Amino acid sequence: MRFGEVDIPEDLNYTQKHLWIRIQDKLCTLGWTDYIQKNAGDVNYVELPPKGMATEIDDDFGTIETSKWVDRLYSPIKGRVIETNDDVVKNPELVNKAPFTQGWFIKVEMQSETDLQGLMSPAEYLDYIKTCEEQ
Amino acid sequence: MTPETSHSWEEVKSWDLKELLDKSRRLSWEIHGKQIQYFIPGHMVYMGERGKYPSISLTGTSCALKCDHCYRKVLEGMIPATEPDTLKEICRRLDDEGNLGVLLSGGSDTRGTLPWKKFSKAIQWIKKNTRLKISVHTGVVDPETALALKESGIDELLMDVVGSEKTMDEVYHLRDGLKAMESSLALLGGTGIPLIPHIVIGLQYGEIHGEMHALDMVARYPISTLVVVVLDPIRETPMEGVRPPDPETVGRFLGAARLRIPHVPIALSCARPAGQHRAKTDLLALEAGINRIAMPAEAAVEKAREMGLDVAFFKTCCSKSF
Repeated sequence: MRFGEVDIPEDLNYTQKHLWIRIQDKLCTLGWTDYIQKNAGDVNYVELPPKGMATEIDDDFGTIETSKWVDRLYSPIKGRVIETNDDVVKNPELVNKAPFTQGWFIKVEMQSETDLQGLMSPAEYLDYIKTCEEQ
Repeated sequence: MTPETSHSWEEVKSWDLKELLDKSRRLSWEIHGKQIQYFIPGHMVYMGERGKYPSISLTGTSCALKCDHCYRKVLEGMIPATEPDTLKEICRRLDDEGNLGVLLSGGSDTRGTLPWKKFSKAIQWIKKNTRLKISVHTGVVDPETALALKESGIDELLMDVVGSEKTMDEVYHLRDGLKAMESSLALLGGTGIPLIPHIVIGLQYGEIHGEMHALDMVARYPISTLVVVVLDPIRETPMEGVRPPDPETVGRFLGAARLRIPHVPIALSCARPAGQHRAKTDLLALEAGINRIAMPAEAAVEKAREMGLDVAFFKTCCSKSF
């Protein structure tokens, strides 16, 4: 699925804070969407949590900076970080170059399936970014 | 370390950093009070909040100079408005959307000038028909352009000031650029409009080269604020991979700037390296008694409170003179 130049893969879920989530059993991989990386510009800095850290819904798990964007990264999942992407910390441009593959942030082992409530489907995310564009 | 006198970078480098920062901070607090202003400029996003002062390029992504530190990349992030009617339309919309003002900027021709005469009437219209404040990134100006800017009713003049002919030549690709810059500063200073020079630290491929002379140049004019920018090498430009000046160098320059022009508020621009560099720079800037920081590191917001400073946030450019 596409919105202009923006890619919205159909096998992922999305959040209002523009994270994508790939869910495989209880393992969730999180990253920044193509829409947000295109809008925020060149990513210069990513700070991620240590392996083993607990995540709560809407709590921050890291920081991201571009030349025009300084913000925290907020988890949509309750669980535990089982892997962080050291490559993206060393080479933040991976978020721009390969947002859905090498540019992922963390892998979280989800605590319960009820955590998935509130995530958007690709079609819902497409509608959401159309709203963002109007604002 | 004498206030209001000219010093070379060699001298400044020989001073004890802590002593310099302490002296600079005391002087700043004595003159400007124990306060810090933080800014979210442009349409930038800071902790979920968006700035209300977008940048507009009057030349789209065109620039004849293609300076080594920018290479037209900065223009890509601006709203293009290459015709006066387009500019009016965009500004009316930005006003309706609740923005506070706009920064008019753009690329240059081979002499370093922007098309101000072409847009002068449109700017007058915007001032008359919207509530937007207008900041202008002037570039090099001649007497007619300075007059046109004055008559257009803009709110403030921003100008990058470079203190080295070598940097003007090798980075800006402008011959005799220093002379043009001196003359532009004098013309802009004579308009009576708030003048906010910007000095980029490390513009000579990360080296300090001419920044102290730039400070001497701006000290001769009644400037509203001095904005200090730190070279932040951009990808896919000739400066990609260049090491920016380290935070201590930035802190040292901020201290020296305070001593040179004690009565002028000093701002740290949004353009500076990210991450730990930003955090260290911002903390040293607070030690130096800086008055304004755009897009501050979280640690700096916390530290300002610990230092007992009055903290205020604004969604405009850090040049704000209104």
